[in-house]
Amino acid sequence: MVRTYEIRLERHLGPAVAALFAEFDVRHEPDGTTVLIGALPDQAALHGALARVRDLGLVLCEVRAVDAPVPGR
Amino acid sequence: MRPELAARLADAWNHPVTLVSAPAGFGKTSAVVAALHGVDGSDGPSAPPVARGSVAWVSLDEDDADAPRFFRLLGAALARATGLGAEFLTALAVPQPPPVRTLLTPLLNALTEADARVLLCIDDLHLVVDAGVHEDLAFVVEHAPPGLRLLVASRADPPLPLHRWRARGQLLEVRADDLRLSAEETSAVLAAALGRPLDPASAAVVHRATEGWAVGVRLASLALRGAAERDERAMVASLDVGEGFALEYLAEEVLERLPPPLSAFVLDAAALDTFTPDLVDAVRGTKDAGAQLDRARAAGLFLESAAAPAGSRGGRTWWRFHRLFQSLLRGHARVVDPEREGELQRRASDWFDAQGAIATAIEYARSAGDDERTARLLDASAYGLVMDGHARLVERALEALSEDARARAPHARLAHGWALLLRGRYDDLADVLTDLSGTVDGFQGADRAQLAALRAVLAGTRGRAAEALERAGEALAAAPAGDVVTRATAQMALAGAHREQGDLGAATAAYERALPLCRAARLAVPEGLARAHLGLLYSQRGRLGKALSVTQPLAGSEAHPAAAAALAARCSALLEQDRRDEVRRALPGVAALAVRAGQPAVIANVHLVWSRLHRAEGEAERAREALEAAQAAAAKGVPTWLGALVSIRSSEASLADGDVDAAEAHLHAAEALAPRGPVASELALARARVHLQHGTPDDLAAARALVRSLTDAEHGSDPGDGVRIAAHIVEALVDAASGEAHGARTTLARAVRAAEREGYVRAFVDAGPACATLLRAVGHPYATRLLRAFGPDGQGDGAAASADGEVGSLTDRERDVLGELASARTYERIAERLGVSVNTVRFHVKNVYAKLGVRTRLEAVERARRWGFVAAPGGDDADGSPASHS
Repeated sequence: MVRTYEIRLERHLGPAVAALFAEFDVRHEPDGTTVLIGALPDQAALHGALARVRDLGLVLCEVRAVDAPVPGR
Repeated sequence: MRPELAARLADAWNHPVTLVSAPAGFGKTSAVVAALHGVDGSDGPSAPPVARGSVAWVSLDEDDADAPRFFRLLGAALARATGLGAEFLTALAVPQPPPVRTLLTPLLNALTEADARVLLCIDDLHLVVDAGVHEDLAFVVEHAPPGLRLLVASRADPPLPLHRWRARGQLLEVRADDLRLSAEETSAVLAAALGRPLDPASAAVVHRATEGWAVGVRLASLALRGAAERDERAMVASLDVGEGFALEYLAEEVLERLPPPLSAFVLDAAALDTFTPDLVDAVRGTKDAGAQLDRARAAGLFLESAAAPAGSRGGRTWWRFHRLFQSLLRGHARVVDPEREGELQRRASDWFDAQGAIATAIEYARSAGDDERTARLLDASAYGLVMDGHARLVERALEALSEDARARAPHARLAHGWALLLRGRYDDLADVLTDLSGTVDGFQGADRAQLAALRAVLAGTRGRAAEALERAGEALAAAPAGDVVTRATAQMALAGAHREQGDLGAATAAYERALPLCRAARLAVPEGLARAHLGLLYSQRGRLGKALSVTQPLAGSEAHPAAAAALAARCSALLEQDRRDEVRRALPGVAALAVRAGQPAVIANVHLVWSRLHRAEGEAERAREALEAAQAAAAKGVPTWLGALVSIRSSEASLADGDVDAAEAHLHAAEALAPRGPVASELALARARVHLQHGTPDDLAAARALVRSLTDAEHGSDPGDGVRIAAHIVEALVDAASGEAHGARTTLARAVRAAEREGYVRAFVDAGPACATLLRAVGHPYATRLLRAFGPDGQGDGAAASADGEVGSLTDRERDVLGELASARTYERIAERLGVSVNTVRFHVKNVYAKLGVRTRLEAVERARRWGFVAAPGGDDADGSPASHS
């Protein structure tokens, strides 16, 4: 099921690293972090992206589903 | 150079488990190597090697994730370090190794007895995803002798019971913060790399920006090495104020300072997962890749040697960049030229295609996102790939294609259809066939035959026998005469249709025609399946020896993509002869293969054998669990008849547990699924057993009528000895229950005589103590043997009476000789073939006769045939050669 995710990483990523996350839009935040925003087809795609974060040694701050259904509904 | 870290890591000798957990590039491996071997690559004085024992080192690669491979590497490392564990390795080297857990205990015992002091180091454990490996590793730690210590290095904390070990003070942890270089260490690394000290302020900036991350410091030293003094200051200043990712910035700096030809080479080579100079030259259209590679290695650009890709020609060293550096290079290259990576990968795809490494060629075409090329490569090779066991590759590649591209690969989709069929995904297959029907008008000859064959098999799995037969006929008619591949496929479809109709004789004949065609066409999967079906059919029709010999060729081929199906059938026949030791040894491996292949039908079959084995060993609970597993597998998609068979077996199990109602319910389910067809006789037998259990006069009469209908010759085709024996046994029990002692004896004697020919045992023992009582009244030598199989408690634990005793006592050489005896060769020829003297042959023959309790060559050969060592005389199996010469 397609869902939009935001992955927040420490530091401002440059174009070369951004190019490794082509399925995301990349936004630099004023607080010095980078947010990757993308609509991912499924959980496997999300975990694939997170494995890339790990393998690059990037520091993960936050992962959240933007359009998450409200719990309890 | 890092004495504190080294001392900390050397403390691994004092802890049962050490975990070195940190992201890529933190220098985990080199820190461990330095601490344990006293080597650190620096010129300074190094710590003395810590010699508290030997170090067993296991380096994992992407391909080592599966359990048998992992434990083979582990066993080999332990054997190198301690000289122990040869048995462990040997036990794992067989085609179907037993569960690792059973082998670990003797290994640990051996280490305990030898008082071995060994530190087992496993590097890159994050590559292992098989949860079973972690469980077995935890078992090792929990049961390790005091001399055995474990150290694992990983990018992520592994799923081991770390919490428990931490609480018990058994765990030493070395994490990212422990591995970070201190400010002084950073200065020292930079000074060593630059050949001069860097000013303290700049070194401090590097330290802060990289946070002591080893790969970052190394990149910084590479960048600084090529920089002029002014550049150096500018670079340090940027690092100081930069909000960016230090590694990315440093990699850019390194690239900028390389001579342009070298940086171009590096960026292009990074588009390839692994490479040789030949490959790089081919994709770049250059001739200097060898020289550039040497320069890149001299410049310290994170190059490492790698395993050769699938299907590539041997004899070359393959290289790759450190994965972290490679990612940075690829990112940079995509910014410079977004199209280039794909172009290079397309050319790599061509190169591998020309080398005949088709699977790797397809992977590169996929990486390049080149749908057209992927579709073309797939369409040309998919059938061979699927039938060679690469179904998943084909499936992944097809899924990644756009709909347009997929439409241009009809042959690949046909091949994919076979893959779906094997994995029980009948609905998906039906969808593919519907989709393809638009293209079908364009199909000629072989394609039309393939499509018809697929439709036939799909109809068969759904119990539509008449349609299956009709489609199979179409397939045969359309298959071009010289096209063995298509003819083999069509024969397989026809055989399946006959089976679905319940005509086991015609089905057997069709599989027998298909088998040599599959072999001629080198179709590994269909060949394995033909052997599997023949194994099951021969068993069902009472030809256990033939069932064993037709499946024998796969008994040593774990890698064969259809080994699981054939070996499950083989185990079933072995169990019928009560050769439980052999089944117990083989079954776990077969189950693992079946699960890996993801074929529900095979998984269900394996669990059916397992259930019967457990029941034979008096483990009713485990037998029930196995049946539940078979039911679960059947629910995932198996042919209708197999689903019915699972229900029939469940019914028999319930009956054995005394639960007649449950037995009836399972039987109703089976009848609803497949009232006629291939399991009709099994169904009748099961129904008769339920009647027998009820025991009223009406029930007994009904049971008798049912089994008589199976054995009466005028009722259609010959049911075969398997059914006949089972029917006679039930009838004898019915006779006994009706007070007809004489009739019971006569009927059972018939079953005993039929059973002796092929060594049937379980059919009698499974019928229970009542059968044992009747057997005592049958004055026949084989009845006496059968009685021994019942064991002292009448439940059947007398393995000595089974074939295990006889066959198991033969040495390998004696088995060879027995196989040769069946060939009608003279002793002189046998001696020549086995490379021994004639006297030695005589010696072995004498022993074989003694062990088998026979006096003549004819008797020995008869016995060998019965146990499946050799094919039946005049057998139509293409593998009639003695099985033991491989």
